[in-house]
Amino acid sequence: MAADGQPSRKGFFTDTSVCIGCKACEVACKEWNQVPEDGLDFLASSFDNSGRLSADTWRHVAFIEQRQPLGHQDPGVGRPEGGAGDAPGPVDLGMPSFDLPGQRTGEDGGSGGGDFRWLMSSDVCKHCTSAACLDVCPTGALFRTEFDTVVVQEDICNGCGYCVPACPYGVIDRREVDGRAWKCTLCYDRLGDGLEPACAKACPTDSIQFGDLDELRERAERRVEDLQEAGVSSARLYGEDPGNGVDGAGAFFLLLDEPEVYGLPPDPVVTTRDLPSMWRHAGAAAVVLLAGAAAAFAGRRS
Amino acid sequence: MGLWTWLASWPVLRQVTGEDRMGLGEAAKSARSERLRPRTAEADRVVKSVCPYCAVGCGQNVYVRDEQVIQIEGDPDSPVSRGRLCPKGSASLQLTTGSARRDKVLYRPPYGADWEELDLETAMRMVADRVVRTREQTWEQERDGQRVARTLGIASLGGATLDNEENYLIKKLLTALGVVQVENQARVCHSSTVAGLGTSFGRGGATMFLQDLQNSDCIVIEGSNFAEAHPVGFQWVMEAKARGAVVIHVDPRFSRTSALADLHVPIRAGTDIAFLGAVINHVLTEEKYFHDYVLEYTNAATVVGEDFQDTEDLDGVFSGFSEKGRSYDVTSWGYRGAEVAAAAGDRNQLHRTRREDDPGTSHAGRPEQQGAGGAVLRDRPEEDRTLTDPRCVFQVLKRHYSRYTPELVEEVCGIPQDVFRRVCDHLTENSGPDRTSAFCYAVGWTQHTVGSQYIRTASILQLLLGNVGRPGGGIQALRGHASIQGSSDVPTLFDLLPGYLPMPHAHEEQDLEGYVRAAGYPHKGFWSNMRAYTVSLLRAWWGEHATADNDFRFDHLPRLTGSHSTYDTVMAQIEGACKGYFLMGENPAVGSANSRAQRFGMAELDWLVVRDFSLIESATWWKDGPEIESGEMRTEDIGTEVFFFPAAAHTEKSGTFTNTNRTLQWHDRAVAPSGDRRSDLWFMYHLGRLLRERLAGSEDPRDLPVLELTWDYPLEEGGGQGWGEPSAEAVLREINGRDADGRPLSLYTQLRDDGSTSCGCWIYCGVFKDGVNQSARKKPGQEQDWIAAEWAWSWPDNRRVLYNRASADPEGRPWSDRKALVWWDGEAERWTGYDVADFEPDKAPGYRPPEDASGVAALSGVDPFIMQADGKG
Amino acid sequence: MPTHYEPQDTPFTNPLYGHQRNPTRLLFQHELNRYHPAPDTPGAGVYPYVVTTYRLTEHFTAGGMSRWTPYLSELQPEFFCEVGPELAAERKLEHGGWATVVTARNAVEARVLVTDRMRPLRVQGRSVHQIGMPYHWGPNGYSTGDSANELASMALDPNVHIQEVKALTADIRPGRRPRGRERVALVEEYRRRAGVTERTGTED
Repeated sequence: MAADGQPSRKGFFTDTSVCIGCKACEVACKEWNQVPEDGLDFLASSFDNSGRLSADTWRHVAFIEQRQPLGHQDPGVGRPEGGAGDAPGPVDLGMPSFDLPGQRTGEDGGSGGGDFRWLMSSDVCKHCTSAACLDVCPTGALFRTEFDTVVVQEDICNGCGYCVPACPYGVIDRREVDGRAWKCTLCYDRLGDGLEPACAKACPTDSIQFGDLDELRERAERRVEDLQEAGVSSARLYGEDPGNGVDGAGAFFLLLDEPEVYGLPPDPVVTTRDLPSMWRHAGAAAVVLLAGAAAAFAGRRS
Repeated sequence: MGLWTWLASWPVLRQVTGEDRMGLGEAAKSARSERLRPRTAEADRVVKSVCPYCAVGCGQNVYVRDEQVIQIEGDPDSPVSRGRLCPKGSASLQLTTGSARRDKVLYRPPYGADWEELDLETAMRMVADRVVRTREQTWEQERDGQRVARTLGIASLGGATLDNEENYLIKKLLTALGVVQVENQARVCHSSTVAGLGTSFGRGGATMFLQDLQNSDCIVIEGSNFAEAHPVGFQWVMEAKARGAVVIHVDPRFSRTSALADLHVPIRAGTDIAFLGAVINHVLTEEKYFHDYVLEYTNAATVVGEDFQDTEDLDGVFSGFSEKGRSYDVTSWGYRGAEVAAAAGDRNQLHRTRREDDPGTSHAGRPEQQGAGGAVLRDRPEEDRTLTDPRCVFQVLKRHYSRYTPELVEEVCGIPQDVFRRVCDHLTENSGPDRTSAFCYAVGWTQHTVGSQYIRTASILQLLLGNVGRPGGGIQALRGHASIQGSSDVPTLFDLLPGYLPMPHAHEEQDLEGYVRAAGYPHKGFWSNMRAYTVSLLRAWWGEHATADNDFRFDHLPRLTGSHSTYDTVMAQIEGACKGYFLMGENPAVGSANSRAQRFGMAELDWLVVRDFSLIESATWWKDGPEIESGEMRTEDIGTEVFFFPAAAHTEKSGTFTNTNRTLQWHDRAVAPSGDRRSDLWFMYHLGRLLRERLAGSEDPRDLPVLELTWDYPLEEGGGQGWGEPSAEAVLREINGRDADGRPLSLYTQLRDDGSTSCGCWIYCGVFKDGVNQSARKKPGQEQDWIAAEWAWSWPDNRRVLYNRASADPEGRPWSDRKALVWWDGEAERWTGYDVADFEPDKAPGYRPPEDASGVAALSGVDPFIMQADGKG
Repeated sequence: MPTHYEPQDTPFTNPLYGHQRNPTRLLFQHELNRYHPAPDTPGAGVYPYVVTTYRLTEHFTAGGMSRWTPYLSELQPEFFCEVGPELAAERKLEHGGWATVVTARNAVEARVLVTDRMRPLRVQGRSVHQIGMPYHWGPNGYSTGDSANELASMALDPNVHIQEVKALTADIRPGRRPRGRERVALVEEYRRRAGVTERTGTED
């Protein structure tokens, strides 16, 4: 609770290093929010058949198969005694080499050839500090709640769709069947009663963590440090930095690779960032125009 | 609302006069948003339930409003799940309230083209008629001159998704009718577990429990896709990992479990014995075994008889193999100095081999019961405590696996040698007094022609490493259905009676005494009380009618003459011998091997009863199955009469599920089922009632078991006159058992063989201890320690880690502080600790039995495997 | 004591013992339940790949509780098989397309997922490909597909009568399977080529 009695800012920290790709988050969200099922489409994209965030998918689990060393899978992660004597460092565990032509780095049973990992991550609306969708909404359907989350009010939304192209992450969308815009509400109704969001509650490995944003940020920073110390050099936070293009996301992530690998924009910027500057320029142009017009009329007497 | 209030609520006004000048926050909030509350807050009641999907048994909170379920989500009080649910558990709301569920009884007449509606009570009567008729037509009083008193014309499949109470009634009623072909998903899923773990340790269930995994230092997941099949259980592996444990996943595929493991070892499907055998070889050769544990607590020192020959001697078979019979004569497998009955094979072999005929390829699944008890010994076998005698078990083991080298592993399993060595190192470094390792397995191990052997290999390995019975160590069998452990315990399996008592076989003289002896009446260990368990069961089923002079109605039980497993039943259906079939929450046309054979079998039936939520493939094959499409079958030529009964969901009935931790968890009914939907308890009870009405007054001795059955459970109001829902609690009380005065029993040691006690399932005795439904206890996990003994109830006797005597050394002190679980308190002269000791509470570690001791008293203070005849693993 | 035996359907010989497979395993000899030729016999190459079956977290067993539930069905909407890129190249399988898998029991079709997670095995000096198949599907319900158990035979562990469905052999080819009578004909054609009789696969 903040000093003025208002609730403190809430958010998500999604630690994808412990995600098992089960999609409990997707289902729990749909059940709670009564989001319709959105099509049986076999996307042949690893185990991801949801595709992307949309009006009917508010949590989306991405799967990325990579031919990379198992850098993040390392005995001794956090082990107090320091493990089997090996110093932590970027270690390739030597996935048993399969017979892939050209892949073996020439040894039998050596540590080369470690060549597979599977990244899994649950994506969600970022609840940006500077939210473009909120900025452009003409009806006031989108508003910032007392928890500093961004929510669409379904009783106000008229389906104009201005918010859709505004989102730099491509999250919010209109639902075909009724025309209104829908997205993750961070379970606004549940927060009001002191409950946690459905996805965070369901997540079997606590990959999705919910709480006060400050506390989550601290926790996340420690986690990244721990992972890097254990040799997972690719571990990093995404969206957490209050200095980024959206002034910090209310839902941020711990990723094990570049954001693009996960289908996330690397450096998104709130699309209304330049609006004030645009208005100023337009204003200045208008003033100049008027001045010019006035000047044109002023010097006319001969 | 007053005018002023209405005006003041105008967003523009609020924006202008309030703090939210931009109109992006509070000013834009609508009235609806202001009033918003989670729908769970408006529930009339919250009912505690248990997820109906897998065997982790996550707690669920079911919210009810206006007699409708409005939300199902995790129960944070559950120590197993901590409020979490996997995608399936999360979908329980849609599962139970969605439009895919049927709610009317459907009927297909013989040769009919389509379904018709039928009212429930008429359908029930029709089914009862058919049961009577088919039973009459296919009754078999004798087979080969021996009394069998049964019918092979009716069979039942299903039970793992049902409550224990439902399984109990299914088995009770059908057995009394003379039906022996009673099976469920456990046959096709984890039956190997019972034989594998049972033979090794004495009981066919996981030795540890899921939350215990957090204590492991090394977890090997093999033959399992833990993260995908038991996601919420997997959180405990993640806990262990967070504490520094090494997680190894051995599997042919790189699955979602592998993605979270520290090391993935790809193995060719079907070669785990070669792999594990090589690890055993490594442990023995490099002397990495836990010496004291092995010496004191296992049969490593026991000397094997001279006649035994190993696969090394006989190129792949053991002594006693009969080519013709494709089976083993196990008399040569004995210990020196002790007569032994089979540990893995047919206990009745000694009887059978005296007869000339060829047992053929059907064997009864004796090992399930054997399995719960291991080899039966009389007398004390010889020992060599130096472990050097070439015929001691230790040396025989060493020789048996001597050719299972890392090179072999590379050749047979496709695993590079350095990876193999890594696994060995991780395991050996994490086993011993200070550290423990666990194995987690599932159907990747069980579903093989050598399934039970896989588990046995791992059991041997874990014993050598000294991990069994210790915190964070042992074997976690990951079972798959909500109550599949229960459907093996209670059980709906052809070869078992409740509590892993064997179904009796046909013999020349088969009375109760003969039965107990044939099963190998051991002189040591808790199986020595088998007579008491059996008599108490018979009293539970036939009440006052079961007395000492009629052998407690032992003859009311039909007899087996071989294997009557589900696959044998399918063949019998194809051949036209089995005419009636019940499917209760199981779908063999998809879930059993060889779908075609399943359908061809069903096409020969006279009648089929399917109970499920929706029209599954096993209910509609006559109309739209692949053989209809191919023209091999024509709907109008299929004479099978089909009944479809819509089933009640877990939210619509009360009862217990037994999860993979051997824990019985009670779930309460949240709402009454609508339409024609009923629970399987209701179905079995009323079917039994109708059958008893039909057969009332019959003089035929074959009907006596049905008429004398105790079948008077209290019914609830509603459902029409006399058609109410039976009380699941009453059934559970019967399962728990009563003493001569009708009071609930507390522990299986109270069972007597004189008919004064009754008990439906002796391993569940204690679930109603002190008259309190222990399985319904819901003390939140957050208020307890990691064992959480006050949440529900585990069998036996609420012991969470089995064989935990082994967590203490021979003097009764824990092997190390870090791995303390139970220990001997010299002052109080009792075993104490975090868990309930799986041992006699007051038997001192120093106790050594006198020479002539028998039964339980013959177990010494250092015999942790109390179900085994020699107390050793 | 446990001893390594090859599974019922296997492309490899047992290097440890003369007895290939569990000599006490239970078999059912029936037209509907034909077994595959032993390795190193002429017909063995007709079903050259190893198949393994498994579960997905999104579905549950035979599908009765998940294929009628839209929220679960949409997570894994269709029956698919997982193959490695080498196998896909060898058999011309298209990622996202269809494949037909055939055994002596039946033929099924599945969508194709080509993935690096399925690797060929290097055993006894040669490479064998694996095909992975989840077993949750059947023709009814909201999410439909063929049943993987159509391919399995009944060959049981002698102690407990559990079936071997974790290791089979089969052939795979691109495209959807034939319908109706032709499906049966396809299975029979394979049997003929492999020389499958009632004695096939019953030896040790």
